[in-house]
Parts: sequence; C-alpha cells; structure tokens
Amino acid sequence: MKASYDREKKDYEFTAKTVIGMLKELGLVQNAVIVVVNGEVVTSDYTFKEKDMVKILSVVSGG
Amino acid sequence: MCQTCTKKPVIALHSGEQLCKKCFIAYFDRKVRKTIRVHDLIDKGDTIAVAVSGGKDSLTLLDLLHAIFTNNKSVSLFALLINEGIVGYRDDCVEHTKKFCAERNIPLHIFSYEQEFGFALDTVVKGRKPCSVCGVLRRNLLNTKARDLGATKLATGHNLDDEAQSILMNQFRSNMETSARLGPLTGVKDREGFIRRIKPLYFMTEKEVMTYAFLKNITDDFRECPYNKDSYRNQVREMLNKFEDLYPGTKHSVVQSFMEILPALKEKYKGDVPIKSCKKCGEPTSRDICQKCVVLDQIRSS
Repeated sequence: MKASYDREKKDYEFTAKTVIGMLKELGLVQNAVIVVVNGEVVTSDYTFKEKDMVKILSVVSGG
Repeated sequence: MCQTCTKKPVIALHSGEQLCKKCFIAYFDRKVRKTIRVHDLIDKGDTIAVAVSGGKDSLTLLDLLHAIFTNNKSVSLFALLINEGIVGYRDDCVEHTKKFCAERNIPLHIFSYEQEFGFALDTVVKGRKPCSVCGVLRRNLLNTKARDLGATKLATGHNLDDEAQSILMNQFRSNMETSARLGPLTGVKDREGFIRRIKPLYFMTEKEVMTYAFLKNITDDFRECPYNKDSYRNQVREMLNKFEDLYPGTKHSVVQSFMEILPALKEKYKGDVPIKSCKKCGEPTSRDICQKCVVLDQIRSS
C-alpha cells in the first residue's frame, strides 16, 4: 500500500496491516503525526482495508 | 471505540482513553476553558491580542477564543501577525490568516520586519542562528504592537509540547531564570511596558491540537519554517517525541512536575531588577540597551 507524507512531500510504500505497524515500518513516531484514511482521522490500532487512501500529516509545523 | 459514546475513535489520549470526533472536540474545548479559568488567564475588561502565524496552533487558539468570547462584551480580541519575510513560508501563511480572520470577522493587524526594521529575515541570517535573531525581533514586535493597539494580554498558541521542550532546553543549559518566566501566564510579575502573555493551549499536546485543527477544517497545507529543522529545539522535540512513544505521558509529567516548582522559581527570580528605558529606542528593558537593539546593531554593522 501507499501513504503520502506531507512533511516530506512524497509517497511511501508499506506492507504493514495496521497504522502502528506502518509508522514503525516507515520510521515515524506516533506522537509526531496523525494518520488520515479516506479523509478521516484514525487511531493507531486501525487495520487497513484494500484501496484505503492513506495520508500521514505531520503535527510539527510552524517554527 | 470511543470511551464516552462507543462511536469510531479518532484519537487516543496519553491516558489510553479513545475518543470519537464529537467527544474529542468537546474534551478539547472543555480543557482549554478550564485552563483559562483555573489559571485566571483572562479577566473582564481584557483586550486580547492573539499572536497568529497562520499555523495550526495559533489559528486553533484564535478560533476557540473567538467562539468563547464572541458574545461576551466584557472581553474583546484581535489578531496580530508578524511577517518576518521568509520566502515560500510566511507569505502563504499571511494569505491563509487573512482569509481565516475575514470569515470570522476578527480584526487582523499585520506588521513586518521589512517595515519595522528595514530588512527581511532571509537577507540577514547568513552566518547567524536564525531562531536567535528571529525570536528576539518577533517577541519585541509582538509586545510593542500589542501594547500600542491597546491589548491588556497577549495570547500565544504554545502547547504542551512547546512547554515541555522549553523546560528541558532550559535544564540542559542551566537556565532556570528563563524557566521562571514559563507557565500558562508568563512572566514573573507585572512590568510596566510589558504585556502579560497567556497560553490557553498550555495543557494540549501538539497532536491533540493538530487533530482538533484537522477535524474543524482549520488546517491548511503543511508548512514548516525552513529554519526549523536545524534548530536546537527541533533536536529536543525529536528526542521527546521518541521518548513519549515509548513511555506515554512523559510530556505531561515534565510539565506537571515543573508546575509544582514554578511558584518557587517565580519567587526566587522576582528580584529587584529595575526596568529601565533602552538608551536607543526607549523600550522597557532590564539592560542599558535592549536585546532587539543589540541584535539590530549586530546586523547593521555587518
């Protein structure tokens, strides 16, 4: 599956089945991002379904 | 599922409690109102200058304060934006903020480094630590402009993460006097010429603020100050976030334990340092020449 990450402005491939698995696979810290699936915020125990559109949004912004 | 109403959760708090969209927004709103109430951040008759940058924290703060006080004639507020002149970052933020304030009929005042000091930040940071220059100049402008516009308090969007980082940064640098000025109501005591700063988002984590901003459609495209990644604060932020992932509640503990010793720190450092007028610009300062003038002199002489 693919996830777009706004801070890096690129897409990442991942194989994990859950959000927490995906974040570990991509080396991202739970506290530093929110994950949006099909336009809705999900928690880290969410299990992906086929064709889910995944966005990772950084909570760190500004300066 | 949401621990309050069993609907689909959107966030897990540091306690492990999961909340749905509606319950989380209610929790967030309630917690910010409690912070304002318990720490006496806003009084009747206050005019609040809300420092905005166009980012999620300051616009969330503005949105909430506007909702809380829009029908309360005893408190008024306006938005105050400082444009440092960072190309590809601040200009987009300014446009987003203008639109945000216009939609809510909130007065917005914008001042720039270019206008006030004669240069954009981008043109003077070479060979310098950008945050050290920018921090001094922005704080000075926020204070003087808020004061000149009649504000009695200056509200900033600093959140729990910001505070935990500041506490640790000051510890690492053995800078407890600076820590004495932290807290939901900053400063050690009222000083002529200085507007007291309040932080209504003080107990909200950065992730909670981002989640709230996303759910309320306050966020815009991701923007990050290009000078942020190399900063000392960013190193501390990354370290703290990794630790929080391993040991949830760490950031809350850092801030809560600090709040226990803050009264003693404020007492210790309230001191008798007199406030004078800067010999160059006349602004209040504890030194002969204020920090802003020192920074400006360094920039202009190079």
